[in-house]
Amino acid sequence: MELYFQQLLNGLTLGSIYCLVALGLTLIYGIMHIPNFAHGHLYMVGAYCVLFLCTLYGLNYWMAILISMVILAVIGIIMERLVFHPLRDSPPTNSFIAAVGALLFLEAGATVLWGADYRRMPEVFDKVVNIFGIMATQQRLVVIFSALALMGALYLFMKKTLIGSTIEAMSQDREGAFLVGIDANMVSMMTFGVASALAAAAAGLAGPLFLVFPSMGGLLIIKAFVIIVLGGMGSIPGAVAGAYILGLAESLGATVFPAEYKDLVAFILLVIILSIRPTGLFAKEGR
Amino acid sequence: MKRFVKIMILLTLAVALLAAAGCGGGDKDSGQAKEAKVLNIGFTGPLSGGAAFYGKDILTGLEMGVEQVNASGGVTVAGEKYTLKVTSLDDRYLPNEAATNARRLVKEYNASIIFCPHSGGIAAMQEFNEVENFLIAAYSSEPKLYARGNKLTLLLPPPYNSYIDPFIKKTMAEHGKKVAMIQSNAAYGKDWGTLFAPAWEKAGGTITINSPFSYNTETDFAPYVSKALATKPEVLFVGGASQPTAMVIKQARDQGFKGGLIVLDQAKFEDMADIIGMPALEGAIGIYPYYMNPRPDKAARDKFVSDYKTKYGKRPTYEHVWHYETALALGKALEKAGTVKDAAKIFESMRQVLPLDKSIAPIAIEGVSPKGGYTNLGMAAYIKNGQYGDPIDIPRTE
Amino acid sequence: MLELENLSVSFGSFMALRSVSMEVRQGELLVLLGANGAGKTTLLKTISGLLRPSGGVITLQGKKISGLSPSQIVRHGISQCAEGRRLFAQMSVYKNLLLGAYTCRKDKKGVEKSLAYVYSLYPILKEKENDPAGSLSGGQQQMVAIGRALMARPGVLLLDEPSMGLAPLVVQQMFDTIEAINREGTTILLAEQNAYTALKIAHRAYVMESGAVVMSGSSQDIAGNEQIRQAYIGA
Ligand SMILES: Nc1ncnc2c1ncn2[C@@H]1O[C@H](COP(=O)(O)OP(=O)(O)O)[C@@H](O)[C@H]1O
Ligand SMILES: [Mg+2]
Repeated sequence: MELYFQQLLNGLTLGSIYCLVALGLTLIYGIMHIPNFAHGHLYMVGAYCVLFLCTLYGLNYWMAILISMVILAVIGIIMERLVFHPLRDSPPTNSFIAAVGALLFLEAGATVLWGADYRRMPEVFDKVVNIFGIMATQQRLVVIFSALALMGALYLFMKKTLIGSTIEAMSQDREGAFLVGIDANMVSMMTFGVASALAAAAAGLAGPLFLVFPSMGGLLIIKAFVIIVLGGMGSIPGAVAGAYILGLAESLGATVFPAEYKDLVAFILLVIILSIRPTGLFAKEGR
Repeated sequence: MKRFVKIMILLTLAVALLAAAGCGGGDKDSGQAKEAKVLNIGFTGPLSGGAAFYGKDILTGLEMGVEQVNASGGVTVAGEKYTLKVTSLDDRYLPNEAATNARRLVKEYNASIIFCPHSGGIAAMQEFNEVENFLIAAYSSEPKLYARGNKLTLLLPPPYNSYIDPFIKKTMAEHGKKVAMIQSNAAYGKDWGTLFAPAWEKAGGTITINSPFSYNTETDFAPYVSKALATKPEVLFVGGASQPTAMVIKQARDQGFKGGLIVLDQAKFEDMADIIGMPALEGAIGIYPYYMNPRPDKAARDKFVSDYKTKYGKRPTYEHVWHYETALALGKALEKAGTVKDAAKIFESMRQVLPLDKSIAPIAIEGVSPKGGYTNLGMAAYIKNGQYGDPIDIPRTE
Repeated sequence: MLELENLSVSFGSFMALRSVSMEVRQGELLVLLGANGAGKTTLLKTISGLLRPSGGVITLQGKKISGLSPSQIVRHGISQCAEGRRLFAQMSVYKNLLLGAYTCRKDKKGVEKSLAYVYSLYPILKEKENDPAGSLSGGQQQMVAIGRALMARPGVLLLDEPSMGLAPLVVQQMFDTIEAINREGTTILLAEQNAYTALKIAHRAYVMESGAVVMSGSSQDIAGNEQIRQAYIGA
């Protein structure tokens, strides 16, 4: 029994990281209908930013995450302008290829600049806590609660501010958004900025638990895509639900099945959900 | 159309960058030694793709050795002066590519010695190396390679099965008889596992869970560690590349595991200690860190360690030093053999020139066994009170 | 006030608008009649900047506005209630209206005033202000759409077939409020197939066929025209 609680905690940690990354991906998809394959690599760049800010500049952990979020927001915006904006009127395949190009570029760039070796972020919250027999470092709790806080902040931004609402407006009805005078450029840039900042936050939070290396984003982006397909492309609640479902399925799946079949659990889950709801858990109506 | 062109430029740039990253250090022609003939030393290994880091890393030791040979005047074979040059080809870790590369190295570059750092590639080359007359310098601890009886294969590191019995004996004495196996499920980890499990049981131990998992495609190791710890083991059998292995151990410690660790030889203690610190490694048995290895001449070892550090910015490990010293020995063997073509003769001379002068030999290769492996004993470390302790000798099982 | 000169729009090789010229005068309610596929929607979308003309110019009070982005055009005082309403279906009625005032969001007082005005036109929206817009009936959704367009406090309001898909009784109410909006001083360009009702409230009318203007004149003249009666009014 204890094992299942332990796995629950592991699953929640993983789900929280997935969630922040998948949210960005789904936001971008909702607005621009681009599958941004490079999103995982923005996460990777975010991880390096936090790492360097902590180790080279000796910044406080939270400060480092905050600054990295800003840096990544800027990088995200630049990427939107340079890569996706010029392609807005061309067929989706072009954006598709461009995203893959951006991904290769970021990974190669990171390898050249920072080397291919694994690095590790210093741990700030390294005390082990024992909650009713479940052992975990504080960092895992930090991940879970910070992710919730960030989601809360995102929710408030999107629901309670008019600027934030424009993201949702644009994804619900693009033409309607144009007609009320929402500037597509502004929203696209803002979405990329927010999504990239979330990726940086995810990387900063996960950093001390995992390793940092140039291809770390590739693993994650696949999971994030599964999540947004699971949740419904472009759906925000779908991304959140999908992320926790996948995180828990992975950790609990690892308990029940041999490691070789673990990915099968996630896959079967995907097949079951998609056969019941072909457009995902929280698909938008009428699309 | 203009956009399409833009994308193409972007993609090309990205690919070019990747390629640049992939082939760095490949073809640098040294202009200064125009008079001396160039003698190519072949290398085939992963230089692009996921394992590129490993391939390029291995190459550094070999290149440093070759540079050392050239710096001390190159080699004079049968009155002809030669500069050595490492010619490396990418095989992306694929056996058939390694075989193709070997043929190219022999035909186009007249190489009679080819280095290869993976068992698949080595096995593929062994199919024809005796016929085509080239010596394989094999960096692999795969025991099967010893069993094949290939006459032109030089095996650098000890076969990993040498470690199994000494590791088991020490760990059982210190920690107990219940082990959980959560090593990497890559081929190497699996192979270790298939030899380890029966040996552990034969020694009277029980295996609480045998559940290897992927060290390089998982984001979070915690679920696997939790699962293994739930079986209440006294010992964990772990290992893959150093960094992920360190994270697996850290996870176990964070979840309250206090027992012993058996670390398969791919993972290096010193690298893991850098990441998670010595206390987390308490009670672990594994390979003795090279930079502290007491067997070679201390001055020679320290000089190599510091030279390597200056050049590549990090500590060398066995991978590097075996290649380095092998290159030095090869230089001597070529001179002694008096031929750059006859691989069998070069191999024979190799046996004769060893051991090298202590002051230049950072690993102090002792000799070559009849089966083609170096005869040096392996060395293990058992970490106690945060110290590596006295090295434990590991005889090579061939 | 708003002038179109030789405006042409094409989709690939298909010309949806052929050299259309039109004038919308200050304060008037102008109706644009035409059968399905005549090019009404294309014309309104072009004015709003959603489509680029392949020829001709659009001027607003003498200033060229063709070529500007949709958001700039809203800022110039032209807002549109589009065909199919284009509401943010999962957002509340209130949020929809608020987003209508996106371009003048800094003027908090003004936004409140517009909101009060919209609620006075359509009191039912006040009651439903927290419901998702997509959950409302067709007529109510049309009210939200018109209300949202009004929130931008436009000088010129473009309405694209607001009666489409509504029950006759609701259509009548809809036209009453449109007339009321016009009476308060908003210039209106109304695209309609429902000629009979539209001509009753309009000052002038243009008739389009296959992307070209075929007739224009006062509502009475058009309503009295035999061809028009046969083609659009059916009596
Ligand atoms: N996006 C488009 N691509 C191609 N043809 C279009 C497009 N939009 C409208 N059309 C065509 O242009 C003509 C005018 O359409 P529209 O302006 O919607 O007419 P109306 O609003 O008067 O019914 C129609 O023949 C229609 O098929
Ligand atoms: Mg229409």
